Formats: sequence, structure tokens, C-alpha cells
Amino acid sequence: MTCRTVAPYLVDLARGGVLDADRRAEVDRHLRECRACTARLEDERALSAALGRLAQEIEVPALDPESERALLASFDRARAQAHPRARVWRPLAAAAVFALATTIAWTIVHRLAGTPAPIVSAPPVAVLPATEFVPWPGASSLPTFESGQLMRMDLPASVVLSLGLVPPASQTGVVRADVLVGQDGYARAVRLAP
Amino acid sequence: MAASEHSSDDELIAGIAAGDREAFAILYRRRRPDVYRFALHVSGSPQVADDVSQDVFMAVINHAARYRSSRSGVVPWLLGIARNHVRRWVERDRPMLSLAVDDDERGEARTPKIETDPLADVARRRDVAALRRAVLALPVKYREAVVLCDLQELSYAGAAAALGCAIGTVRSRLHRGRALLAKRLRGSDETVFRNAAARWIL
Repeated sequence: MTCRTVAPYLVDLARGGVLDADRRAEVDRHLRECRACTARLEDERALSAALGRLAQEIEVPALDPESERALLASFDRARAQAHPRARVWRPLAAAAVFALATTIAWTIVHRLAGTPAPIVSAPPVAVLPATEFVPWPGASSLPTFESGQLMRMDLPASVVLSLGLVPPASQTGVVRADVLVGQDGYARAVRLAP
Repeated sequence: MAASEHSSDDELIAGIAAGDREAFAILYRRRRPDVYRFALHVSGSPQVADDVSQDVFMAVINHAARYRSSRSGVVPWLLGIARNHVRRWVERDRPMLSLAVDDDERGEARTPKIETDPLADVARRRDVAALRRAVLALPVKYREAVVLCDLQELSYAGAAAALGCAIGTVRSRLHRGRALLAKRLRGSDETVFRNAAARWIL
């Protein structure tokens, strides 16, 4: 090794780095023969020690509660802007699920009682235009939608109803729907296929 | 999983991306000192360090979903953001660069005194003020490498992630930065530099 080629390893050694055994042996051999590089290693070590003290010397000011409050307020605003529709639809979706569950329970109770169940019409929660997108349950907690694709698929009518969408009378059992899938593979919204 | 003081940085970032307010508050309290120190070491200005700390966590609010845990740790990611903000400040306000010199230091020259063995003197007397000034006088690209590797104690890989460059580039910038530091600590007198510190030149 020459003084030039050994130099980078001196910095690594001074910073507490570990060299592989062969490399270390080469460096040690050079240092035994070269007083200049031995002196430089000592200087590098002194520099590292001084930099260590400089790092410790910095005093970080105590957390300013006002700054933290301002950041948290920004966080809240960003969340509200990222998911404005979710806030509107969340109660509606919850109401839809509740109404569907109530209807199913009522039907089961009547059947067990031996009385013919009345014809159950679609739950009275579906008030949306059939072709408008509604948020997929839980989509509001996913990362911000950046890009994605529309996937056409058949969904059980019960799922569609629970989302507050009214399937056409001609579609029973399964309903043709468009699901908006985000860049991460998670569904974000759904609509009835036009 | 709810965010807590025991959550890892990666878990907190994932929580923030999913809208967890508490995860954000925990990460801010935990990592603000790292960002502040980096910004202060590179800019030399406590005001800039304060502003950059706020700016970095505003960026976290808006871009947490872009963080990829497999690429690097959270700290290099945060310091990479901080670096961009500090750079903008340095490029805009460089003529007004404050060296954050204390009142009792104002009478001294900005370059350290010429002494027979100033590095040993720095180590012995804990004269970090001279070293602080020398770090601030480095060109920004070398200063960043020295601050990340020697003051923030990031690995070469972490510093490379923060700087957006190759590990080899980090190493060469660090070595060059340290050589410049040594040169400055040996004084600005060219004769002294040539005679007493020639071994620093590669």
C-alpha cells in the first residue's frame, strides 16, 4: 500500500470503522513503515474526537407547544382535505349497514316463527344515483389515492346494498359494478356499472 | 396497531400515512432533535434550524405515504428532506450566513489561530467553537457529508440515502471535507499550511 491508497482507510479507522482482516494487515504493515501516515492517523483520531464533542455540544431547544399545536392543526387540515367525501359518506354507509342488518334479522325471526315472511323490498337507505361512486368501506384510512384503475366485477347484491347503492331490479343475486383500485392495490370506491 | 412510544419509526410513518394523529405527534417529538441538529450544523443559524424543523414535519404530513421502508431508515429520509430545505436557505441567504458566534468570540478571527499542533489543542481544550466555524466554512457538499457521518453518526449508506447519491460519493466527500477541516484548523496562512500540514494533501 502507498500513502495515497492507505489514506481512506485511515479515515475509516479513525471513525471507528472495522476493516476486514487482510485489509487491516496491509494498513498496519504500511503504518509500521510510514511515520507520516501514523501521524495522520493520530490527527484523524483527534479530529473525530473533536467532532464528537461538537456533536454533543449542540443543545436542542425544548419543544415549543405552540409549534407542535400548529403542526397538529396542519395534520388535521391535511386529513380533512384528503378525505372530504369520506366524512359525508361514513354515516350514510353506517346507516345502510344497520338497515340491512335489521332487515335480515327481522326476516329470520319471522321465518323461525313459521309465518311467511313479507316480501322484503330494497332497504330504504339507497338514495344515491346508481352511477355515482361511493367510498369503499375503510378507504378513508388508506394512503392518499394517487393513481389506479377501474375494475369491472360482479358483487353480491347484499354488498352493493350495504354501500347504499340500489341495484337495478333486473339484477338479482349479483350486481355488475366498477371498483376503483388504487396504486397500492386497495379498493377506494365503487359504483354500479352503467 | 395504535401508535405508542414503543412503536418503531417505520411503524409511526405507516400510521401517519394512514391518518394517525398520535403517530405523527410521537415521531415529531422523537425525531425533531435530529432534524434540528442537522439543520443547525449545516446552516449555523438556530432560526433556520427551527424553521427547517417545522418545514420537514410539514413535508411528513403531506408525503408520509411516499416513504419506502426498504430503501433506508426514517432518519436518513427526514434528513434528506431537511437537506433540501437547508440548501434552499443557504443558496438564498448565503451572503448573510450567520456563524452563530457568541459575543465573547466576536473579536476573534473567523479562522482558528495558527498553533503548532492545533488538532491536539482542539482535542485537549475542547475548543469546539473553532471547529464549528471550520465546519460552517466548508463547501456545502462537504459540510453535509461531515455533518451526516461525523456529527449525526449515520452510516455511509444512511448518508447516501439522505444525500441521494452513491456510497462512494459520500466517502470521497467525507474524506475531502475532513481534509479541508484539518487544513482550516491548521490556519489560513499558506506558508504554514505548506510547511506544517503538507501531509494532509493527497
